[in-house]
Amino acid sequence: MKINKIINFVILGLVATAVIQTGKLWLGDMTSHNFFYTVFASLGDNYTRTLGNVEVIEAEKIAVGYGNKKFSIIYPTNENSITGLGNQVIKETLSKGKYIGTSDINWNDYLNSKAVVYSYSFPVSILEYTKGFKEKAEEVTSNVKSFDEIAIVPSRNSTEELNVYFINNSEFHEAYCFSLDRSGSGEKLYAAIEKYQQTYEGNLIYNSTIQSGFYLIKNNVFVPQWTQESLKYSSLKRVNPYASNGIVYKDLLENGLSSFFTNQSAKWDEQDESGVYMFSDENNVVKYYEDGILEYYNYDTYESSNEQTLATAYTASQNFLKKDSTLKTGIFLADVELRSDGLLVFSYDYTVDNLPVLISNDVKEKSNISHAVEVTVKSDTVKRYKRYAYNFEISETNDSTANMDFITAVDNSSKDNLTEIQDITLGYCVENNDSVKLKWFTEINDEIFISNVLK
Amino acid sequence: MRKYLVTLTALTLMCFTNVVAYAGPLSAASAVPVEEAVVLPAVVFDVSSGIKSFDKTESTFDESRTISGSSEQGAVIAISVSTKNADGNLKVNSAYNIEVGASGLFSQTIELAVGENVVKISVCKDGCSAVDEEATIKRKKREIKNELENGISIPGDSSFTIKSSSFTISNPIK
Repeated sequence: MKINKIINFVILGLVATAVIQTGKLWLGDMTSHNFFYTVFASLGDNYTRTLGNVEVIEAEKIAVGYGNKKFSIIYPTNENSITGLGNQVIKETLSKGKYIGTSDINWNDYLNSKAVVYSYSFPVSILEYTKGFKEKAEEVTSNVKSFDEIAIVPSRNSTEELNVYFINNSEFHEAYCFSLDRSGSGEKLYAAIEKYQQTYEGNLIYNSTIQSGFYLIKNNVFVPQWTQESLKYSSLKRVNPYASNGIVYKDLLENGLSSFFTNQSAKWDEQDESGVYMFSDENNVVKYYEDGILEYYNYDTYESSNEQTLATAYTASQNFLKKDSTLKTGIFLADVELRSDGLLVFSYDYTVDNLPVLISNDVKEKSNISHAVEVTVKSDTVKRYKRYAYNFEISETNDSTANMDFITAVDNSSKDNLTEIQDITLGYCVENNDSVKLKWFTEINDEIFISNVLK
Repeated sequence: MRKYLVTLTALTLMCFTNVVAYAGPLSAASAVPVEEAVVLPAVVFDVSSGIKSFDKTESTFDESRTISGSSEQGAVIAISVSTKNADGNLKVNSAYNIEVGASGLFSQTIELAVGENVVKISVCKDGCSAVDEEATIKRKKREIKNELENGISIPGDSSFTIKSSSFTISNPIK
């Protein structure tokens, strides 16, 4: 009788598990359609537990291609169904993608139909990247070392194969192709791209320089164009979060910076003769300069015993940024630098309305900053944080005009012997005033030329 | 008397005898040099994107098309987009002029009307002969694309259409 009762409980347990599994198959997308794998095999998986909370290294920007040589650009800081679904497809690829082969980079293969292209400003180690997805991804990690772009070519429905290309343009000039069968996320991504195309209300459509045959531009760059004679756009206004009516108030500073200190009562402050505000406790110092630069230093000597990696340091920088309550404008990862003393510096720039907000050379020199936000991490702890502490908001809708296209900007930037252009970007340019307008940023021979958008 | 007769005969012969002078064959020694016609080189021009093939008709569902390519610095590219009016005459809907700069690149997004769009491209530069090309782009309504994508046509007879979303057969297969 006892044995019968045990058997009954086991049967009930199996029935309940089967019902849950079937429900998930109908309503969601399982990693595997294997009953035993999903329920029982994952119980023994320690990989995700040892990783802890590691963030996915976000792309600098994402291009959405409609298959007709037209693209839109999204910055990952903006919540969007396409980026969410794209991440799901990448996760599926890491989990069960099948390696097809390595080949030369062929952008026409990736861009001739609907596609999503993730672009990074530096080569990302595949091992560090997979940590954010909590996937071992052995098929992928054994065939890919690093990448600086990911191209997802989804299929219209899940019965067709989907291809994902990890592209290494900067070091090996190769693409690593993986295919995915029966991807529900891929089908949803395809539909999301179509919907985005139909509902897109922006003025800017981008073209691929490779598809356009512009081989003067070294790598594939997505450049914006407008159909009309000129582009109407909205300028931005620069807002100081610590000021009211143009005057910086200590109370606003103190409130805004309180999140950097764990023990508020132990904090003290002062303002020196040059007008620099300083807030400090035993281990942390925050300075605020008149030109709007915010600097944070951590002098705590405690160091984590875990070895710092790109993924863990990135997570530390992301967690720290969330603490800055006055950082209201979206940011994107613009660069990563590993210094000789083991410090990792993550550089971010602002973005508004899916356009980058870049600092002019004058502001960079005056404030001694290369990007809007710099986070220095050592042993997974933020040791230094420097920010051009302004937020950027749209001032008035379509109050400004641009009528110089990117080719004219290139012509104006080029010197006598123009052989190669590395990059060209349309973005807001922050100068020493509160009105922020669009400019062309052209990179030629590692030098950036900033030119007007008005003829 | 004799003198009169001789004179009359001579005059008569002169009136009825055609004197025709022909130019003799031109020999090298006597040839007069003629100014040679100047043949200007054609301006270098290439469309790398936006037009698949000139003198052929292509179809699209898109409202606009970006024509890109390269040419010589200083070249002027004129692009016009025309459609046929009710009388069958071409009417220019839009026209664009681009001067090619130091990069040698050009790019222009043109708007397309529903129906046949005749795209004419003319390129000229001082010291070069002009290049003219023409292409036809037929823009179809987007609703047709949606219908095509949402329905499955059975090959052989376009009257049979199965709606993939609802799985209703509009005409049963006999």
